[in-house]
Amino acid sequence: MSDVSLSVSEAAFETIFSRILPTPLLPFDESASFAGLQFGVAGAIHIAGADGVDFEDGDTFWLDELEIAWDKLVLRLGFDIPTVRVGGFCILRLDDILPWESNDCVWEFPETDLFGADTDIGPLVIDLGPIVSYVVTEVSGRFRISPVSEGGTLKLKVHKQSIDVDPISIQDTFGKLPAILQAAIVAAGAKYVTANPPAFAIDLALGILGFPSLTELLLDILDIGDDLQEWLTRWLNVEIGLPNVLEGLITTAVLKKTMFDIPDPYSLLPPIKMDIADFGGFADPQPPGPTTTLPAPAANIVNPAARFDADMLHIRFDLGL
Amino acid sequence: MADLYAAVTDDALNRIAGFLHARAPYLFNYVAPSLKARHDDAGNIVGFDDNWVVCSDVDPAPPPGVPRYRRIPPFGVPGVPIKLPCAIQLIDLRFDFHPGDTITLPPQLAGPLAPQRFALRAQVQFGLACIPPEAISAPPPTTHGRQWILPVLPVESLECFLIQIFVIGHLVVGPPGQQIGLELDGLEIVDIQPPGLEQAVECYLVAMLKGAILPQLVLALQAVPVHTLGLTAVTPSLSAGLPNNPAIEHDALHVWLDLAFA
Repeated sequence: MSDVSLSVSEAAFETIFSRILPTPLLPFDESASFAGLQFGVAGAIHIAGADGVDFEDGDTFWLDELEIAWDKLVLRLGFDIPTVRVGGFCILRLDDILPWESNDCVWEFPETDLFGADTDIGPLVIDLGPIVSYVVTEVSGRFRISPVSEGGTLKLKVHKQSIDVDPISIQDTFGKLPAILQAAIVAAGAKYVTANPPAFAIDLALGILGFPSLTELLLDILDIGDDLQEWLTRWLNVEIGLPNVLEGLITTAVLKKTMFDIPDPYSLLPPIKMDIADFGGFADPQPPGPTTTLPAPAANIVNPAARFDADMLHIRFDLGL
Repeated sequence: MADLYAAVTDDALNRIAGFLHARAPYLFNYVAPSLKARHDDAGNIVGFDDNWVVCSDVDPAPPPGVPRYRRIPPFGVPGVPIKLPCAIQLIDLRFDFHPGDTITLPPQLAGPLAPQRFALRAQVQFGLACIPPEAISAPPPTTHGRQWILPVLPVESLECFLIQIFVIGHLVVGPPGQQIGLELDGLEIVDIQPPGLEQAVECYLVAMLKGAILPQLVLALQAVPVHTLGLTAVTPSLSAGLPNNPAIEHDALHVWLDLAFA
């Protein structure tokens, strides 16, 4: 039997784990481009807690649900509109005024390319803050616990063994999502047009391309169709690969967490404040006095171990005495 | 099921006691020091220093800056005009939890150790100063016209004797607030003669332990496991419904706790 044995029940472990788990904001910023569309996502989540701890035999436990809360979700869209060549046609020909002359052009509208840049429109910033409460992120995983000596304490750290981040879904319980998304896109388009003075060029291009408004163009280019919800989840999950991004964030955040901190060396008594006059036979050098505080006698922790069985986490260690 | 369980073995406690004996000997050595004259170059007494006279040297030496002895007051004897130095040294301290397997109990305590009981064996060395006749009649030392009034008898050695004490006890939980204490089941001092003297001393010791020392001794068995794990904002309480909690069994002290999280 080890010198010291401590056991923690599954229920207490879950409560403690859930208490240490909440994180500050975990921001991320990812982007992808596809077929002329630059798609960026800036967001922030935080881990709110844990639910459903299940001890496994050995040094791992299964977690049914890591509670993820979304704090920010902003899309950035940039478009590479196909180049439109305008101009290059003749406004006035010589034979229009001098019929006997040749039909040489005397006044040609200058030829120019519209939308020749890599990103012609954008970034349009679509703030999806109003929908973050609809975003559902289900995370489960298997975690390992191990004692690690670090900075004067024996820490029982939680390590990721495997994390499953389900594809992000959007629960549109009240059917409000399409309206919110469309409003956000319209707002982003309007804001962009307002903020970019050569709006006539956009109107001109839209006319050439056959779209009555920038919003219509966006909806067409984005291939949003009728199902905004499906479109958004596809982009978040597939094109951006947000589940992988979240897994990385969660792994890093969880690795910083310590379940239990056992002082090592382990104090056998508290520090003792003493009046020098009340003691004698000091080993040199004698403290100058009149009072001194003796450090706590402490023993190193040796042979630490942490194991689970079906119901309990068992922590055991010996004292290096 | 309890939220938290903790156990410590008697072997660990015995090693802790040995470790503290070496690292914090002042917990085990209580001394009323004698005096030692301090002289000037001409051999005149210019003052007195403590002379920590004991029966057994503290070995090994403690770590730097750590004292060997804790001061206790000198004792007086009626008719003797000066206080007497003395020393009480706990030479060895050993615990044994049920089932008793490291301490052989004396016949008077009727072994083997009963369930849920602990045994304790302490070897205590007492040292008392002998009073030479001249200390009673001689005038106080005088130097430079100053008469020194000595608070304690200057001696260079003590009359020493060693006694072995066995104690059997168990844990009790009582109000208020589930305080865990110790209750004495038996005490035996070995080989004091005549038997009447032994019984009288044991009687006084039991009365002193039961009346003064044990009531003040509260074991923080609820708090220690929680602090050991570094848990905060948690209120521990003894789990109910267990036959013995805390328990002394399988050579260890066990406690089961429920945790109320803030």
